[in-house]
Amino acid sequence: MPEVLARLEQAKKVYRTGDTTIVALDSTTLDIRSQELVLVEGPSGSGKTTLISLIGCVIYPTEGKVFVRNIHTSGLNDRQLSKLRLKNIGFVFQNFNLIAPFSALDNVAFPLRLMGKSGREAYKEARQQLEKLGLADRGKNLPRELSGGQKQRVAIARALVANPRILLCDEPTASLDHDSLKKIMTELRNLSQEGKAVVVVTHDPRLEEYADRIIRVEDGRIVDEVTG
Amino acid sequence: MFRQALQFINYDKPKAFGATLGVLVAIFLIGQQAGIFIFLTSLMTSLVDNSKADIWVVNDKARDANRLGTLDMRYVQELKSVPGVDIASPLVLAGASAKLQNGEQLPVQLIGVEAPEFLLEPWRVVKGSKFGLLSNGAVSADVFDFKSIDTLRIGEPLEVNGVRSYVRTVTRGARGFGGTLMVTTINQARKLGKVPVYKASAILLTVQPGFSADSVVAAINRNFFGVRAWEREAFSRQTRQENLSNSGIGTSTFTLIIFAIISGMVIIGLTLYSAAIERLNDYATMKAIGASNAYVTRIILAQALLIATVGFAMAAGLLVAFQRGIANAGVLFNYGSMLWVGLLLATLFLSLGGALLAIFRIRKVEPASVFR
Ligand SMILES: Nc1ncnc2c1ncn2[C@@H]1O[C@H](COP(=O)(O)OP(=O)(O)OP(=O)(O)O)[C@@H](O)[C@H]1O
Ligand SMILES: [Mg+2]
Repeated sequence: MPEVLARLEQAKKVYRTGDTTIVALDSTTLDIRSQELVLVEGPSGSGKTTLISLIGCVIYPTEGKVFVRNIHTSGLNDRQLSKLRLKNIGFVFQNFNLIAPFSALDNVAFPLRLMGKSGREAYKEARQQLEKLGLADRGKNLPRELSGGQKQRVAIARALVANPRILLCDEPTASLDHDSLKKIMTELRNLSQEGKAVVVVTHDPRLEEYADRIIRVEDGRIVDEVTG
Repeated sequence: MFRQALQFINYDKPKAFGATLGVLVAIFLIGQQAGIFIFLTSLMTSLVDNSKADIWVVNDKARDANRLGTLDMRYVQELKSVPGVDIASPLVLAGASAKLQNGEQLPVQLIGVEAPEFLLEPWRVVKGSKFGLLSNGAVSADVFDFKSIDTLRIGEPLEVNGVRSYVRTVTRGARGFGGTLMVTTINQARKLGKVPVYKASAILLTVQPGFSADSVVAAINRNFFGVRAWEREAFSRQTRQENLSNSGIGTSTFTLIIFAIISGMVIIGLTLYSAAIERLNDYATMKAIGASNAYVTRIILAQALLIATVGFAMAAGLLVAFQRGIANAGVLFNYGSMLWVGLLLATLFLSLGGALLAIFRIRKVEPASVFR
């Protein structure tokens, strides 16, 4: 049975810069369930990143509530929230956000180290994860020495390595060629079927065939929701 | 933790180098100032510290072993009768002018001591011995005081206040605050310095076994007028205090050290801060992945500690070299273990203090800034 892993309840995000206010996301209620791959589509600036950032607890809602695994997140302090993110959420950021001074392998091992795994264990698992994504020989390279597609795959490896229940991917395929895209989407689909919730933000219609549900965002609102 | 910190340092070597240099310069300057300070204060009190007396009895107005005034010789006999006093031996200090054969002339302070007690004898003797001073016209001299003499020989002739004298004891680094010291017998000092036989500068005492110096001091100060007895340590402290408050050496050293600490901290602070700003995105990513504020704080602190360690090690090496180099010019001092500990604490203070700015900034960064 699918379970609700994350939930937005009337969640709203407003940015104020000077005297302009931008409603990045208007009051939104949304469930993210296990065994489901959700696609989030919409034009640039429509609020897609805002939406998954709220789910991923990297930003706080201006109004409304965010639940992750039934925990109301606004009651948590810095430490508890960090731990919640670390244990439950894998994030593939829109611009990769690899940690520049760390090698590819160090980047992938980082969440495991944070979780308290020993260096030996963390690096072993990280190496395996890189191998799965076809980057076995790139572990020692710094991010600046990698191509866009390679960086993207390292970012995916880092998001997957700690085996989080919720996987949030912001344009994870933008820099990938057709083969890599197919491989990664198949992998994400498998992961969702194994019980994870996978949310993928994209502009790419080729991804639709992998989705269980497609959410369309415009002007900070969910305007359409299709279950396929 | 240190591995990650090292990677951050490695990624931005110029900044790490800058911060290390900041630690190095600040700690070297502090150590250098402290070394000179130790040297100067040891000069101030060298007469007292190197005496074998347990107690110094001086004119009751004297607060400085280098400016003693005079007291009456009759106190010598009277002091001998104080219970607990073993030896009571007068000391004469007198200013004079020494002239070498080649014409070099320098002011000296003559120290006349009574033989064979020698309660103040030449220290750091490298040639001859104190007994050489017993022969006619004998004085001691320090190798560092004579610019024109490479090797000071035993028997080197010179004129002291116009009177033919000979170097019979050579010291290396036995120097006073006021200038060149020359030890001789009390009679010779009186003769050369024209000090009357009924006057002395101080009376040095030793205490019999079974008596404590402070009880003897108390007894003297209770029963004698016009003189004051000091335990050696107390007189040394008093002399140092007097000279420090009159000379400004203390304040200037202190000011320099404070400035070195401030400027060091500013350099380190700004470098670490700008390094952190440059890597803001990386710290935000770490947080977004699940690193707590405590974790990123530790990464910054670890960087500061690594930089501090390297900077301190280099500064310590330079300070030892400085100490050796300056010793050849007669500036002899020892960094005690206390000073090393102090320097280490200063290093920690500098680097951890400098890291604060960066830490505050990094703690404030929101994980969400990874999207910008
Ligand atoms: N930190 C911020 N401060 C101010 N405005 C912001 C901030 N983050 C996002 N916004 C604004 O909120 C709106 C939604 O942004 P969001 O990043 O969610 O869009 P998006 O759908 O992900 O766009 P894209 O497809 O270009 O990535 C935009 O108008 C954006 O300018
Ligand atoms: Mg976006």
